[in-house]
Amino acid sequence: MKNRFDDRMARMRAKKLAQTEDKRQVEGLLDEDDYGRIVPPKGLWKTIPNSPDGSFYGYEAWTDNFCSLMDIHPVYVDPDDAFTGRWMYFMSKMRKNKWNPEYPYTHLEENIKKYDIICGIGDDAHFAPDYSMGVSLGWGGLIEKIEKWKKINTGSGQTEFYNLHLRAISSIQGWINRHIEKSKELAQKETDPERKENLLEQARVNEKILFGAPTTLREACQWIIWYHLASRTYNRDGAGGQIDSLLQPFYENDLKNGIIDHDTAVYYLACFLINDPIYWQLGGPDKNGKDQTSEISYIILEAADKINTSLNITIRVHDGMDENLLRTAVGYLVKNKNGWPRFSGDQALVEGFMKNGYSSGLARERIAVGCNWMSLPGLEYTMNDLVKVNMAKVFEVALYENRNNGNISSGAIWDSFTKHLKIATHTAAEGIRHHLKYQKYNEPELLLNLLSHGPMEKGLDASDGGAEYYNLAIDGAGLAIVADSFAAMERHIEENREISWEQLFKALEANFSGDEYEHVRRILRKTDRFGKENSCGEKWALKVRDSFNDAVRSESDSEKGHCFMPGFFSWANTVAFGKAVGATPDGRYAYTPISHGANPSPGFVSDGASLSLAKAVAKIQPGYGNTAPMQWELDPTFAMEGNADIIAAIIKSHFKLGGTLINVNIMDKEKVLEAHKDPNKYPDLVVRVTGFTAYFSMLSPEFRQLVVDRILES
Amino acid sequence: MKGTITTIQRMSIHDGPGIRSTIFMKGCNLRCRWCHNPETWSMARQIQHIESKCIHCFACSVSCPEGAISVRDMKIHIDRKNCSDCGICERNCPSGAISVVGKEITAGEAFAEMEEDRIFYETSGGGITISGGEPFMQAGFVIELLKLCKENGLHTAVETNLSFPWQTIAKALPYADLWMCDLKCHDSGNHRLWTGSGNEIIKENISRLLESGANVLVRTPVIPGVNDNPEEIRKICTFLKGLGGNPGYELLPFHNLGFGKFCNLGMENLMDRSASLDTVRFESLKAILKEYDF
Repeated sequence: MKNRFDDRMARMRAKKLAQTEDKRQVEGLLDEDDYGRIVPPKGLWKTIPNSPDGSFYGYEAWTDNFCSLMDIHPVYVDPDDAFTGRWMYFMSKMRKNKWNPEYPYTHLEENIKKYDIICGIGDDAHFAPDYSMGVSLGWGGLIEKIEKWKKINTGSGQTEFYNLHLRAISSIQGWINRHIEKSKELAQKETDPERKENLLEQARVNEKILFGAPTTLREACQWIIWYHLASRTYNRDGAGGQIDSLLQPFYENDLKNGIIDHDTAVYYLACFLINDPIYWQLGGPDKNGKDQTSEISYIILEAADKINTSLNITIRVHDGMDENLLRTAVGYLVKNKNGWPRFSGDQALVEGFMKNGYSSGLARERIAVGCNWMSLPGLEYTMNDLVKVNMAKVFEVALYENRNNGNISSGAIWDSFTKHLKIATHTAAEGIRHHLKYQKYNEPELLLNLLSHGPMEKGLDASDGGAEYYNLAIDGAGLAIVADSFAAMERHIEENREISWEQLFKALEANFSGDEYEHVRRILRKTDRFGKENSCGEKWALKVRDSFNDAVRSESDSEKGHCFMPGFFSWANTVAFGKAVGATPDGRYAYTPISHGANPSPGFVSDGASLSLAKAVAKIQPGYGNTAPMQWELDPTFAMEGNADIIAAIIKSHFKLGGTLINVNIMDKEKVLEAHKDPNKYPDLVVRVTGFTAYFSMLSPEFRQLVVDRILES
Repeated sequence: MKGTITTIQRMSIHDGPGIRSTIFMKGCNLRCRWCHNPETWSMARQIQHIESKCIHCFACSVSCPEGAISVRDMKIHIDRKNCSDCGICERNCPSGAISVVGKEITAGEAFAEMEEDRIFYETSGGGITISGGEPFMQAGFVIELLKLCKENGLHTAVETNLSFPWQTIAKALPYADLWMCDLKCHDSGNHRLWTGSGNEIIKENISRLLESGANVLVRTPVIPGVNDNPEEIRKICTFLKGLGGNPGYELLPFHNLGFGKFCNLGMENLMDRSASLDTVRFESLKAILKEYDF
């Protein structure tokens, strides 16, 4: 659809590509989200350590660092852009260490290493702010709120707690103020009347929201941008919210006041989305079950289509949804083939979360705002996507524990596996408890506290009892490797007696090299694997799921208010996890990547793979409100506009069967192979690596290879 | 009742509306030269060997109880006269290069397998399709399966050459929601030349189906040198428009993707291997259909 701002949006998209290339040239490759960040000037800012190890820890030091950075942070003003500001510094990544050595966890380190656990101690963010609080209060309102609670909560250290948050806001306001000056300065020099007016409007918008709450769509978007730029800078926080219902009142108000039209709204939202690939949700039910889709849901998709960069928009699919929103979203997915949007399933997420004892209304408010994760905006502290148990490693420990067992059997190895899985999961949970106890002395949540319900009211950090709920995530990784390994051993050693246990161990130790062991590998691979309906692999996958669920759930503690929630997700750790695990009985070679999240290993069926995948991943869901995403690789010869209804049908079916989240890649094999050889050839090629999208050219060769393999094998 | 099939193909999206499962019946009464499913000609089980998958371990040769698999020049050779289609070689092949095409299945088993994907049919407006080969070569099985599916709320479609007595076709009428049938050539002599049978009965059955109120989609596979000319397509269009009942009509482009199967099955392929259909030509033929309001 033509838009009178098309030229501006095209120039912004070109600038975005140049900025991505600049990052690649200056900073090298990054196997992560694009984040919308741009390269900072060299040597402008350094961290201020407060520890002999050169790092900085605790409230005061984090506030000092953040404020000193805000005080000098470069401004970003583009006459084409409706909004000002970009973030540049990974403050949390710039410190020397991420955990305060005064609070060691040596008692956990042996098991962390043994089971290859990502323990999450010292990790940050990964829960959602309540942006509605932000846009209703504005910075001035937040200051008033803090001042109010400062007078009420006067316990030890609490005055300082509030003062530090006030300092943070003040430094953000200083940053905004410098943008106001810059916009005005550029406006004076600008000769093009439209660009001049835009620069002056940038300044007017920022002057309005420097203290006051936003009242227009443009102001609301700019306010949200300032908050997330600050929060990104502080600790990479990228959680979004229910963006359509958040912005709809502002849009309607603008319409009523006659100050906006369709083209302008699309332009604002394109500028908003290009600023940062924050995780936003569209559609879905409100707490009463009423669909939240509105005109602005479609405008947001149209704006996303205009810029078509790395985006993380999720469409919430539910029974009462506006079917046209799903159809429109799938239309953009197949048109652009850039991995957006993705889709989350309301039914299983709500039913699962309610199993933790929460109401349906609350469950519906737990929305898709992170890589693989859901969160209640402003209400919970979660450690989502931060704590992972490498189940393939746990399996390896169990397998070799039985190496010299005269009565070795798949049953004996299973008993070992469940024993070690419980120990590994307990270690992960202990790590979370250690984190919760000391994180405030390490890295307080200075920015996310501001838009959470509780930290200001209680005078406590979100990690330290300030949040309303503590729904703590532990994810299992390598499900298919474990399930298929058990299935292969049971089928080929015990049932068919095609190979012996000794042959298996020798083949694994030789990494299947040589004709004899390659033959063993071929036999092992000829197993009905997880992903095929009613297969031996599926049987074992369900056993692993149940065992993992039990282990995680048993860590919950109602007295402490800790609810532990299982999920299956490996994020971008499939490569690193694989490097810790030797050859496995499913035929996987040593130190190669483990299976992706809850997905079966590629090649699990020869026919109808999309349907089997949709069923298998739905069946394996942990079922307590956290996700086990379906990573869906689609061939572009199928993923065409003419098949959009078929794709939508598979999405709906997966969610009806119990699925929680679908990430889709539609990639031309030839194009990917060419881009793998020469990343410069396709600088705008975006892939959905896992829950996040990334520019293919920004990925390391190893990670590009992983994406290539996945696509070629799908 | 049991039937012999090659496979049940899931997620078919070209065999009727929505997402479908298509069951391919073995056995066909026509011998279309361009056939891309030669494994469905015979009702019997057949051994198939795919050289590109073979890792040359020769486990098949070692395990064959009939001594029907020999090794020459590091390649396996199947003596099909002595092969008993027992399938032992398939079980011993670690790479999936050798397999038996054809399995017996009851209508109940086929229904149960296809019913597994019911949710996808429901969300997409799809269902099941019986194809082949020629389904009505195994009419008893096909009618039982159609009935089972229909009674259990699945949308049903049949892909048939209609080269059967009307009495056989009519038995399936209550249970088939969609009839997809080929009219490959307008002229019966031409039809006989390329398929081995004339088309009088086919035309008659199309007419009768339409008179019965059936939902009919007629298709013509456009084959280079056979029927890829405007006159042929116009004749078929005119014939169809002369019938009542408003049938659908579409053209299917020729492809040679199934030609490798002849070699894998040890069968002779009489079609010109170099034949190809020009896209522009195909599109121009498709445009003719619009003239006739198809």
